Amino acid sequence: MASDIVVYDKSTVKGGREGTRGYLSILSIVIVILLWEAMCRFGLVESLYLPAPSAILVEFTRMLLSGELLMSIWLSLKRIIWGFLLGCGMGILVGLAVGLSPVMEALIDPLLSLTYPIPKIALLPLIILWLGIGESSKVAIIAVGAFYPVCINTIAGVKGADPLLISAARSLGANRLQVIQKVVLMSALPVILAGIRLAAGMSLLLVVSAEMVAATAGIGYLILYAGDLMLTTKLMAGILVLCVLGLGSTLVLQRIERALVPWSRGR
Amino acid sequence: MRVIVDGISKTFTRRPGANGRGNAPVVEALRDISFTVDDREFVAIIGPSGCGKSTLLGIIAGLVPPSSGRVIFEGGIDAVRPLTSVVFQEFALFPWRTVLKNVEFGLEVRGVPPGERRDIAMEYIRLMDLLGFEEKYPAELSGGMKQRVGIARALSVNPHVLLMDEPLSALDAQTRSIMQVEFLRIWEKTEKTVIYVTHNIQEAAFLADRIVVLSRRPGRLREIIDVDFGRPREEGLLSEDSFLKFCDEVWGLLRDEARVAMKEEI
Ligand SMILES: Nc1ncnc2c1ncn2[C@@H]1O[C@H](COP(=O)(O)OP(=O)(O)O)[C@@H](O)[C@H]1O
Ligand SMILES: [Mg+2]
Repeated sequence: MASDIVVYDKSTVKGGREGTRGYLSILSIVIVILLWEAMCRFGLVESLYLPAPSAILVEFTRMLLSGELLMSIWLSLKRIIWGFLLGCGMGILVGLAVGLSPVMEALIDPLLSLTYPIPKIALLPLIILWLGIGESSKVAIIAVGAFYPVCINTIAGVKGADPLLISAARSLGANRLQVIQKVVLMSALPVILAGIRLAAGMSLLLVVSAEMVAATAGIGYLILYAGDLMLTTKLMAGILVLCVLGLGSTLVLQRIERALVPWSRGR
Repeated sequence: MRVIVDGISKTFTRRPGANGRGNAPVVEALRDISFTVDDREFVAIIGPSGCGKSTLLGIIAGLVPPSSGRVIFEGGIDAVRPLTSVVFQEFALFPWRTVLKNVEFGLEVRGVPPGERRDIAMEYIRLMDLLGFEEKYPAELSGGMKQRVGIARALSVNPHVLLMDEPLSALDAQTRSIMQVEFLRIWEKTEKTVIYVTHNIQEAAFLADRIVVLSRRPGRLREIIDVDFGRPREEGLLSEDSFLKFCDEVWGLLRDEARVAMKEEI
């Protein structure tokens, strides 16, 4: 039907309603868990292959109370934290050197490009050969994994500093060191932090892989061991721990980022 | 302070950001530019886009080395004050610094103690009508407010010569005309030597004592035009017949250059 007027208002123009989306995300999680639970309750899947969420939660609590889980978490966490800190520290140092000095860039950049594509877990046997099967080899492989994203982002951040801002600083009387301190590093900071977030994910991946290949304790070991014995509920409890660890590290890093980069909060 | 631009030429051999790898085609940006800016004079530089105005300002600011020629600063040099400071078209504010910290930057790198530099910065924040915004980050400000910060920051170091590179051209028309008038008031108070790059003829005619007209690239000196309207200038000048006629004459000089420059860009 032809009409003489067209009206745009809040009922005819869709979009921009962010509020409902949050509920929808939670809803989808709840629905999947409920379906999953129902499928197990009605015997549609065997609990050996997929235990019910309630059973996983019960097992999770039992393992938590018995101390078994905390022990594994603590071990894995210790490896992650040491490896992560070492890798991030080295990544920032090397990244700054390469980003700031053309000589260092000429020397180190080819090495980085050459070694970057290697899947880091492939280096584990070599590292074990060098450092033995103990803690240090696990810390080392995580450090190597965390190193690359941080290093590469640091280089990109330092080189990506806006030449206009550097000109502005120079025109106001900043010397070379002040330009680096007050402009280059500050503008690189958000990029470096993004690299650190990638490194956290990489650390979790590598700790589990390393523990599955060469460890007698830790979350990765727990999951593999439970799988071997077909203790599926225990296995799933281990995966739940990883999920929580991943979320936890994201939240912590977000907090740190918000504290260190307050100027980008407005957008 | 007088600024003598003496036979400045500039040829770029590398593209910006090419980082020294491989030589891009040579660009001759400026050819043999000479003019003098007198003490406390307001000189506007106009020319078609790409003719080397920003490059020339960068050379006067000591940020870009000229290929040949020299810039001479003469008379009344006070060693504790910088020769120049720059206001940029794109504002060039430090996004990680609040308004106050942005304005303090030049004083901070010069080693002015914190209490003192805060007082000086606040003085310019008041001058630029920014009170109440000291703790805001640039991302929270409108374009007009950002450029107020840019101007406050450049003035805070009390330079002998203020260099402005199309400071208002990123702003909308209303904000621009408000800022023109306001800036004129401030300049009359500070009486600094100003070199002001613009591609807006009205702006140049309204603000400046003289207009330096550059040709299309490579930028050469076309003409230096005296602007004889008395001071203080009021907003009403913008719509006076004599003013519009003057702008038309300047446009006549620039038109052909601008036309060719535009075709070359495509
Ligand atoms: N750092 C640089 N390297 C190479 N070419 C440059 C550089 N800066 C500017 N140019 C070139 O010089 C010419 C003049 O540029 P610019 O001074 O920015 O002109 P305007 O400010 O008049 O628009 C342009 O062709 C530009 O591409
Ligand atoms: Mg320009």
